[in-house]
Amino acid sequence: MKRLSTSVAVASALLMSAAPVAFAQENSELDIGRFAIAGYGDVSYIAQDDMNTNVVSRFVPIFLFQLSEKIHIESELEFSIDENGETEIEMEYADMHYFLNDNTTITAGKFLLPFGQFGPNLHPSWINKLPSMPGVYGHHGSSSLASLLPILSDTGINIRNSFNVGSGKLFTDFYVVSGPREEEADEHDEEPVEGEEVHAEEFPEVEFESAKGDNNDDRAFGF
Amino acid sequence: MQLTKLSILIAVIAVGSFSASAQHASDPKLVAKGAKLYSENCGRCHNPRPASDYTKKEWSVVMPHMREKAHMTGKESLAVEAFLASTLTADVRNEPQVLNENAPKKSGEALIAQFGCQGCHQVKGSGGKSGPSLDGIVEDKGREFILKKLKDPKFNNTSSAMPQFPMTEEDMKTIINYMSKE
Repeated sequence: MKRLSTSVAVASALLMSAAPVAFAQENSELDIGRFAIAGYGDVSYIAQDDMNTNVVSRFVPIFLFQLSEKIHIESELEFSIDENGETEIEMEYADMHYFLNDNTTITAGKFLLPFGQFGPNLHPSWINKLPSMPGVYGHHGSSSLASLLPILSDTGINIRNSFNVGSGKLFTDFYVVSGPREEEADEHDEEPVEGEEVHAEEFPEVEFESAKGDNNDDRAFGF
Repeated sequence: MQLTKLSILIAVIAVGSFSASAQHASDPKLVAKGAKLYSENCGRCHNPRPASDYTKKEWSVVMPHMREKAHMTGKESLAVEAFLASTLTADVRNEPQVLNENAPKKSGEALIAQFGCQGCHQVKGSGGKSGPSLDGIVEDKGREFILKKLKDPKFNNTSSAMPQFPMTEEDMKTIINYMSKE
């Protein structure tokens, strides 16, 4: 049933892309480049309990590579010093866009989840004017708020459609990603106390750290 | 069944990948459309980046990245790229290094349309709102200020997103004369 639902959803997303006529960049006089580097950096001062270092910094280069007019590859790395003064290196995203036609793009790899606008568009520190991340998004950089959904990016496939409707715009995203990890059971659990009920199957703890990879076959869907 | 599924998939991809002829990148209508889209899309999340931040080749690589961020179609992305490119190179008559003395002179109204001023500014009440309205601006700021602004958009604001357009001083004065009659 899950496979049928997935197939129907993917087919629907692709069918939506088949409606309009595509657009070609042949005959263009624009210079076509191959590679570009963008990015940003920031230095923050944070006054908070239990911090060893009040000054934290980040350097975030973005690498863009255009293989052809149809295929675009991008990646963003983050080099940061956390509140303990330790260096962390993370890959924010590394994905490939395939421009199927004028309205549809297929993205594969690790990409920023199109869950709202903050994650994919507003989280960079040079855009986000807030002192921290909104609570529903991940702890990232110098965020001081506890998060409910600490995943900005995940690995999978996204099919994006964008249409002009009158004076407005309609865009859809359908994506399948690895989803959160399950917390592995501790092998050194304490022996149950005599008389205490032992539950044969406990509800698994869910761990939201996609940076450590996935450890189960369950997938997350988004639309 | 598997063959049917594969056939449907191939048909969908084939229809979806059908290509049509492109508008020419130096088409003034495409440039004007790009100016409007630049104002509407590029300022939604962050300040519009000045065209001079990147070369034409770099913009051709940056734009597919931004196409996804801004949910633009391929045509819209190309229009924005054409607008940015038009401010960086000689796609127009009035590129200072290769001025063509025999080319027909254009009216102020035609020049404003060619350079897509209404992408960011309102003229006669219509246009974008990234920049100030140009209606009455000559009387308000003076001709010398406007001329200086057209020559060097950052002279009074180093973070201005207004591009420096490849136009001669003669065309700048033509635009100023046109706007002073509004």
